[in-house]
Amino acid sequence: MGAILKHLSAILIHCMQNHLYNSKEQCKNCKATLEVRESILYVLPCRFDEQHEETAQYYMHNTVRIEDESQIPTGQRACYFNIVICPGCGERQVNIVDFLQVREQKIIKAGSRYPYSVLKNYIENNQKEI
Amino acid sequence: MKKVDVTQIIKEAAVILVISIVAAVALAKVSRNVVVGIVLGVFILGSILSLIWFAGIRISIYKKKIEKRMNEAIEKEHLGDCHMFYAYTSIVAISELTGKIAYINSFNPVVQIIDAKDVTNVKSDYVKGPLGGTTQVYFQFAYNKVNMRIPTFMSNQAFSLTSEKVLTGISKADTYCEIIKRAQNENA
Repeated sequence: MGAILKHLSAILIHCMQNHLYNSKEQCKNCKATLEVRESILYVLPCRFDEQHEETAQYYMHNTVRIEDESQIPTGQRACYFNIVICPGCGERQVNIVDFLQVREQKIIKAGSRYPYSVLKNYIENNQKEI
Repeated sequence: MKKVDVTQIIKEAAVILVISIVAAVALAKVSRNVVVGIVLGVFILGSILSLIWFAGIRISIYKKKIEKRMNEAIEKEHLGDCHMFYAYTSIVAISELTGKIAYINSFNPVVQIIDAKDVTNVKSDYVKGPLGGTTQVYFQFAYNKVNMRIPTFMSNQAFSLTSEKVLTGISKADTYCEIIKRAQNENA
């Protein structure tokens, strides 16, 4: 009886896990889980643990687009522009993750979030150039 | 290439010894006990003064001196735009343009300039600490069979190899190794 109860509670926890704890980001308006549609890699002008202002203007004026992580110079910081979209209400935003690549590992240095409209022109112009 | 100028260290230690002996004589007169004076003056005061001088005051005094001497040497030797790395007691400047490496240490405050192409065994590594961690990350190069080890991360405690400080140190060490190799290749 005890073993049956144990198994039942394990199954219940497994089913409820998605509702109890969801590590995925949720939309503030409709609470749907945001989906990452595209990740674009850029190189930043700072190195190692240097500080920089975390504003959309800084990222727009100082980042250089690259194709993949192998192109990041050693010691140079880089960032991913993750374009996320809400499947429920269609709202889009850009999550910027600033990191330092050390051999095969990444150290996350900063993260910021902006509405897609703020960085839309910059992202689309970069895509046209490529 | 020399990291430490032994004659300079001996001179400074001699000055501290003289000060300790003078203090010992004064203490012996005050305490009217020669043994107490000598023990307190020479051994204890000498040890304290040595610690304060070599581990504290000396480093901060020489920091500005070696920076000034390095900048003067870079200008004099026309090394151009250099990649500078400031370690705790030393400065390394690598010029890709001229293929030269300049080095100065607060324990040997004379700028030593060598050709990058004469340098061997360029690598980055870490000192293995307890429980798989590390207390020091460094990059090194060898010149005339002398290994010059420049620390990019140092601590009196062991840090995990995945900690942010150690990874940043590894990144710095890898970067400067690449810079030295580029300086070697451009002027080979």
